[in-house]
Amino acid sequence: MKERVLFSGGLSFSKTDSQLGRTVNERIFAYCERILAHCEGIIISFQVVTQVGWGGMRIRNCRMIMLVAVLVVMLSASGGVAGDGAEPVVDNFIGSVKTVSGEGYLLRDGEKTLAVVGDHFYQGDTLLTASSSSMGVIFRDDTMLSLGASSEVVIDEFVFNPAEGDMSFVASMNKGVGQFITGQMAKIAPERMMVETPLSTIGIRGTRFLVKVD
Amino acid sequence: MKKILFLTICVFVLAGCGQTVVLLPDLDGHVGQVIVTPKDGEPVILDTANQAVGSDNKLYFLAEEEVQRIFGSALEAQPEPTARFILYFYHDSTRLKKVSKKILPEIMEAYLARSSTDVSVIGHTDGMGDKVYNHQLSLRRAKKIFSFLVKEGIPAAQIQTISHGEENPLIPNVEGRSEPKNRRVEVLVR
Repeated sequence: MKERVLFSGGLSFSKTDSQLGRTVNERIFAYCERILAHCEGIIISFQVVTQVGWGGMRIRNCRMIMLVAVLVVMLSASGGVAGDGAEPVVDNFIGSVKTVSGEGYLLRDGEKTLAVVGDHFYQGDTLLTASSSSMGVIFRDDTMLSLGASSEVVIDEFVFNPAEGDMSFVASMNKGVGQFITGQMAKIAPERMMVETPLSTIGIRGTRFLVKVD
Repeated sequence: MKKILFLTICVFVLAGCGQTVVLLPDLDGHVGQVIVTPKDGEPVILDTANQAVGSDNKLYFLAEEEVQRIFGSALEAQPEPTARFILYFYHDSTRLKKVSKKILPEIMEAYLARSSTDVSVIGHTDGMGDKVYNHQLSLRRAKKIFSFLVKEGIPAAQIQTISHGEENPLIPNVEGRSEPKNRRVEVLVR
């Protein structure tokens, strides 16, 4: 029995049943791969074709599977998978270290690491400086905090998601000297922003102030 | 002798619980306001430049030289403020206006110049039209800028791509009124 296999892409060949085997299936497989190369993330249909293909099925069935595979590919592509490639990545860091003079540290889960310009920090981290050292950081709402020598600030809370109405900035200045220059959060929701010291709570309605805790 | 002992205890106890809060003018000269509420006392409001409050909850003015002497190291460590770029788009489209296209190289320059590892691409809308649609449109615009920045070499994990919707307008939004200046993507390079 002779069977002619035709694909919409123009690939065609004909073989007798006895000759149908690995070579034909390999060609189908290659063709599939070529289609798939144009579309991203269609691993499921890819696997279906390989598995059945290697199993030495009849061409007729293979063609059916191909049709399904192509359909799946087309559907997925129209679903918006294809694009410029990169998709936004969610990283929940809350700010970055911008200046360090001497030794600045980030304390996270009990682990203290030397701070380097560009380092990211996270909610719950503590910013520390050694004697004769200083460090400046910018939060993701553009609040700037700079610390002088032997200072310690814990960032208890930092959430900045104005679209959802989630905003909160709570920092504890435990010792040393620091300058705060508030950013977007103080403009949108000043009542959500506060700096705690061992003696008091500082509410912020305007942007630049200094704190010294002995 | 008793007096000396008493003084020593005072100094010992006070060290570790003294504090000073000083209000300075903003970087643009405007003077804001902070409210200092002691754990056991009445709130004190600072609203004048160089006004200060100590542990005794009394207001006073701290001279510029004193500010420098006490807070100099913290002031020097102040980072360069966030660089802000605003990109405008054609109406209901993700196509950048010509003027805004020219700004794209400046964004990359700022990123490199300040050794940045933190960039926000924020879509904003005005108060006109369907909230959900506006939100999605501004997000699509933001994603387009995101793709550009990634192509230029900024790691995707350093870029926050979000839509603030109507919540953080450049010019106060009036519900239902068109405000082209609020239909924008803001790129913040920190």
